[in-house]
Amino acid sequence: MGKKKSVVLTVLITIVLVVLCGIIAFPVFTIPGSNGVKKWNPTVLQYDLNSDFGGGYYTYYYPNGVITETDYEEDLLSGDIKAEDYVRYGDTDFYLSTDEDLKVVSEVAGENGAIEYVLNEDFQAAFNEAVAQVKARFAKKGFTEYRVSVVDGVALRVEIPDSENMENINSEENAAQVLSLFASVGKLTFQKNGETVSELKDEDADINDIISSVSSKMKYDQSYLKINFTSKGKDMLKTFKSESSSGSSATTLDLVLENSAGTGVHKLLSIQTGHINSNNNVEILPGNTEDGEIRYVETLSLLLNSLMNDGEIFIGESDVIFAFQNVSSQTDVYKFESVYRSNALNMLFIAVGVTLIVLLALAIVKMGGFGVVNLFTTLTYFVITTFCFAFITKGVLVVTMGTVLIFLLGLVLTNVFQARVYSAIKAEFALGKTIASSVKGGYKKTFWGMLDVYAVLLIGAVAALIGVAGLHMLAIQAIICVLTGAFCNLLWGRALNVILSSTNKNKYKFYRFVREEDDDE
Amino acid sequence: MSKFLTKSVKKVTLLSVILAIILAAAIVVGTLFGFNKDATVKSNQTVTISTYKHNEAYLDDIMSDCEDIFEDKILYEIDSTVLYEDIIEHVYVFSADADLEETVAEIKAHFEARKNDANDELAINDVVVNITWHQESNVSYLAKNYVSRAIIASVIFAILAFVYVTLRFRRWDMGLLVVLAIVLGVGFTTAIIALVRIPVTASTVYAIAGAGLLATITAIMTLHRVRLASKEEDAKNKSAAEIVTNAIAWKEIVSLCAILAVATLFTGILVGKAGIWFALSALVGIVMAAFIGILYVPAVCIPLKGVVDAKIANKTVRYKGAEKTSTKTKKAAKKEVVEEQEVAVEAPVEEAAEEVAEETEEESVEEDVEEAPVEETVAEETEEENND
Repeated sequence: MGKKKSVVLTVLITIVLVVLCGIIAFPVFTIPGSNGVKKWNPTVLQYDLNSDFGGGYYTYYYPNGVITETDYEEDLLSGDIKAEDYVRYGDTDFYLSTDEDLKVVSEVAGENGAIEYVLNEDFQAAFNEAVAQVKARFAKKGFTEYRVSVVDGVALRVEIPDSENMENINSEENAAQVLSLFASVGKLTFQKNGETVSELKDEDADINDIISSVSSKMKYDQSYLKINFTSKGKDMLKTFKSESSSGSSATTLDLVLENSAGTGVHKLLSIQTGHINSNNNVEILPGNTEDGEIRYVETLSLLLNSLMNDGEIFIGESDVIFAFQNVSSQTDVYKFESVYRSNALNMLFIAVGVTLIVLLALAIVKMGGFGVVNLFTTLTYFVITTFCFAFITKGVLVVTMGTVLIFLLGLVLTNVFQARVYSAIKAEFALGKTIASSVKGGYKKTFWGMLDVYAVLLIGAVAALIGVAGLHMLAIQAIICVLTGAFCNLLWGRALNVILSSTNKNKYKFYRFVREEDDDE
Repeated sequence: MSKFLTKSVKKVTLLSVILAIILAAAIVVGTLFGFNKDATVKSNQTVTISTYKHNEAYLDDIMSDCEDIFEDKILYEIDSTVLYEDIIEHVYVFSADADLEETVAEIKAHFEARKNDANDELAINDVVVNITWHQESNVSYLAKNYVSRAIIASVIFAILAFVYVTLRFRRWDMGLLVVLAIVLGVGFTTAIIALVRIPVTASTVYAIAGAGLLATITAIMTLHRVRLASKEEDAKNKSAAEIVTNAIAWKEIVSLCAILAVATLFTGILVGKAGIWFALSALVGIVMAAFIGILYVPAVCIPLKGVVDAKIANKTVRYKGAEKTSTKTKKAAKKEVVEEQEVAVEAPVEEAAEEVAEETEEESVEEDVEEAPVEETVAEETEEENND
């Protein structure tokens, strides 16, 4: 390659890399002329993060009839409740309703013959069953991390990571929706005009007699909920369609969650005739934020399947259905910062930056001109992986400690392989070959060794796709790192070596090689 | 280093015994005590201090009082705010077995007293402080089938890696060694984490998965060199132990593992407590991968290579086609020998004739050379005269 050509190429590659590195890491600033509205956001701040780096959201699920001490005192002050309506639960900060309809407590005779209240065993059993339902939902949702814990034996605390930090999705809204929806425990039923449909009025009738399956689907980049009906359900839809078109009935068929007689219903879906397809099944867009709809549809599908499979939970032999109090996505969800350190993300950037700089400096000191080739190769690895993590897999991947490990593994491996190539070139040169021949020989001798390592790593990364949640995400990240590393070491590094070495007339100086006979001269 | 390697690599039994002891100890400890779960994933107690956001200015003062009373019992803290609401919470997390009854009572009494003290800043500014104390028992923090899927993925990886390496290196023993590296990398990293009681977080699985990948890299680095060394011309004169020991890619493996270990630890320390536990788990995996690549895989490779080489040699001997070929070759060789002997008998006569011919030729050349200068001198003189 001619010197002029190589200099031009080197300058161009340098400019591209510098600009891309700027896009990745240039700090936040307000864009001039935007009246302080628009802000420059570097790529590294657009990652989806797990709770180690980005914190998350949590809320409490309180069963009907269980309130906190704070709520008890406030309600008492405001006169909403009377002191005798609730009793303190042991030494805890919870109060239990004495309302017989809720079946939270049982009356027992105390030492002095006075009535004492203890937690109803049937209520406790129903609560445990509800915990299992909620637990299964969070386990199936595929969060990289989450936590479901029982608080004082009568409430639940659920925690999820702040992992959907997407441009068009309000992560708060999204998290709040999940936390709010997953609190739904009760009886699933269809209602028209607030009345349970005739098909489900019978005591033995069950929602599974009407709905055969629920799933989330995608069509033309639009996600929707598909509800398949049984023949009985299809008949119900036919009747609804004909009644609705004749104007003799309600215009919506509501899928609702019946908690219990005392706590009302919670509407999950409103089906209109337009949602019913030619096969008498329902395809419905539940109606939510435009870009967040896929998350909402998935969550709703998961919830409906859970409710259909597990059914309602009765408290003992009574007809009281166990339920958690409604969790408002507006007022009941807490956002928390990174658990161990609020500036963990900044520290992570500093650590990765320092590692990168040390590796590059070490390579230049040890390998001279070839160290510069290594610098370009490493920066290319950094740029490609950083962009892929931030944009290609946006909304899919979450940056975890595992991501950091895989990224560092790829980074160090790329550098070690570059050093291996340099050693091989040096060994060839020591045999008395010319520089060009040594370079060719060096690359030839190391090629298959590197290819084998990358091939097996790729197999490992692809196999890890079988994993779920965080492991599945780690697999995708590993595939990105392996492919980028292989490209940098096997192709790009070699091309860069040709370009950069051509800019230097003195190849000996470039590679820091010295012939013994040259010394003698 | 090479002396150490040569000595250590030959002690495959000793290395295996050490690994077996570690595994046995880990199984015992794991069975008796389980993994040492980090505070973020195990059951605990929480004391929550909540107030209104407009009282945020007093939060530091409130927290300072709490921390004075709690002293060093706190495991970690969480700062949170209610979405779209004017409430902020500061959660203190304690171990499940911490005795908090008196402490919580003291805190409640302390803030009650401040509330009732007309001169107190909190009372003056009507700052509401709610304190609640809860026991939290963690019931779920891993996705469904998380561990079982991870095991299935490892098994599939091991099978595919075996197939790839066996086909590529054309030796099943190499494939087997890569499988061994994966199993040891994943298995022993898990075992050592359980044994040395490193706190386990939800991220620990990533460190174990990373150990599996890194162990594969170090094993392939060494096996690739063994393969190249076995192909060298003088390999037949060397024993399997010599070939393997000289081929260990220890410099590459040490550089890779050392740099990665330093980078991971550095990152862990900067990121915070969760990062440190993760970095320590990763460090175990990195050390294990280095051990596998530098010592254990070569140690197992020596006897295995000896067995496989011997089998290959036996196969070659027993191969009838080869025997036939060798008979043919022998016959051809015999023929060549007979022909050479015949040539050798005829050679002296022919050589003598050739020598005579050569001598005659040389003499005539010498004569030509001697005559030439005289002729040239005459010709030159004639030319000069003509020019004049």
